[in-house]
Amino acid sequence: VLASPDHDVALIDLLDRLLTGGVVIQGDVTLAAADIDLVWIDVRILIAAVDTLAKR
Amino acid sequence: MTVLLYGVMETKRAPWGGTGLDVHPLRLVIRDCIAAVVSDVDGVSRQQASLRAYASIVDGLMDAGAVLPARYGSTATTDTEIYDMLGRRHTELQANLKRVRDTVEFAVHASPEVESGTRADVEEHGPGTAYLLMRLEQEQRVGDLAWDVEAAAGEFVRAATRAPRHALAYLVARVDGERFVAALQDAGLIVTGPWPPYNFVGQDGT
Repeated sequence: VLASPDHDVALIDLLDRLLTGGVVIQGDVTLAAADIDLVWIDVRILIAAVDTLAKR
Repeated sequence: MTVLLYGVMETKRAPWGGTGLDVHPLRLVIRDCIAAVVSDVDGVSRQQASLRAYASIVDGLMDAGAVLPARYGSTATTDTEIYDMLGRRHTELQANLKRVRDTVEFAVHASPEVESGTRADVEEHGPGTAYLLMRLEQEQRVGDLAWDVEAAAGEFVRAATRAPRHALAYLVARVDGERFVAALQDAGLIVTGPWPPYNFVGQDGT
């Protein structure tokens, strides 16, 4: 990542892109919402950190 | 075994060879001038390491040429399904590949100072009104952010769209990337990238 001053923001931007952007094979199965939640567990603390940053 | 899609490219730019997830080789499913980059996988992992490895592979594709990255977890049971998808969406995919050629995506967030105060205001109201006020403020914040970007670096923008978490995504010519970032950082905005054009694949009106 060339531009991010904040590693946490960059990680969340990466996960947003991987899990909500991109081409989807029409009619096929992607990760279910429950699966995505599991992926996000590892970064909840990072999301919280960004929220805290945003409120400063 | 499952077939995992990494991205769609112009056939002439698609790399032959390389390694996908689970150490399975990458291969191409080619239909005319468009190629899907795929590999077999043992399953779609939910581990962050797998997502990072997937992102790294897609970054490599972007270095080879224009790519429409696939959403993580886009799978098919056979290459034939991928081949059929390329035929069904050929016009759309070809047009979007042309649009993203020699471009990169950046995410832009408002500075922390601009985002301050939202929840404090919301807590003074009931839940319904608070929700609507919050949504209104978020919309205004994104609108303000778009104006700030336009003012600071509008000359570099090829396309723009909303991104999650009240961010905006911008498509910028690769050669303009560093100047785009510098202009926005000078304006106090938070920028991440360059990303493959995940938010400009054309399926959601982008």
